[in-house]
Amino acid sequence: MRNRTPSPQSRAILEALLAQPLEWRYGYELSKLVGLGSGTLYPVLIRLHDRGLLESKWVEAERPGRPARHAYRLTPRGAAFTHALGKAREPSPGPTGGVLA
Amino acid sequence: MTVDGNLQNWLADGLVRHAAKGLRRRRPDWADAMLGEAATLPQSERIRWAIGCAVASYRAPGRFDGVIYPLALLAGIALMAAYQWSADESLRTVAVIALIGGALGLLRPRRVWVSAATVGLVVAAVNAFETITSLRPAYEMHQHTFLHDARWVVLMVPALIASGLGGYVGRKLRSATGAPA
Repeated sequence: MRNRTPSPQSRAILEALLAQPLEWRYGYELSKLVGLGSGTLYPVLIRLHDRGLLESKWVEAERPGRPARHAYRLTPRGAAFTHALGKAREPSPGPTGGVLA
Repeated sequence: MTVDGNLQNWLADGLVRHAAKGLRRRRPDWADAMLGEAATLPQSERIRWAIGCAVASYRAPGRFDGVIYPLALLAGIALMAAYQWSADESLRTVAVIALIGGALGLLRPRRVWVSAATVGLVVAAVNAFETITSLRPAYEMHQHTFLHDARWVVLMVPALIASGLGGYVGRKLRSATGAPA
């Protein structure tokens, strides 16, 4: 599958997850981190998951009787993809190698 | 908890359940994810989160996958039948069949045969309807026989060619954009 350029919202989520790549994040926590509502967050999470950039797991609720929660983190492929996105966005150094004379 | 708080909770629960129900068939995990997350939110966030979940359930990829093609198929049949009832221009009829068949093929490359069969049989079906009911469009001067109607099944051929071409283009586009077939 070809890696299409992600939307700004997808990029924000990928970058937020890359900050602590081993950490599992809940949907609500992610929405607070990136400032997205659930109406935007879930479709983006679903797309990223479908593309294999995101993995999810179920976490049992701390309080009995509550449903399990979905938690997310980047897959190795997602981490590599987000790294590549960040590199592509960095301004390329000029002919002097970025050092100002 | 106040009456206002109870009402908000009731509304939030209803909206999240509605969202989960909409997603359940194609995305059961995500439906449960919404329910699980909503149950843990602070009171002040619940209604806003629930409205977002309802919106998300309509925007989620694949949500309408099972509905769009049947609707497009019905629209194609209606359009073809309306055209056939209003005009009797053989070449234009073939062009309209090709247009609708091609569009349906493009929309769902895996259903090329269904698209072709459905669109290609409309003219024969409209003619058979005329024969059975004796209702005729203004341009039609004569009563047909079923044999006359049946020969219009030949229109399956241009429908199949057009759907096949549409399906071919659709597959190419999907593989170029990485979208599922």
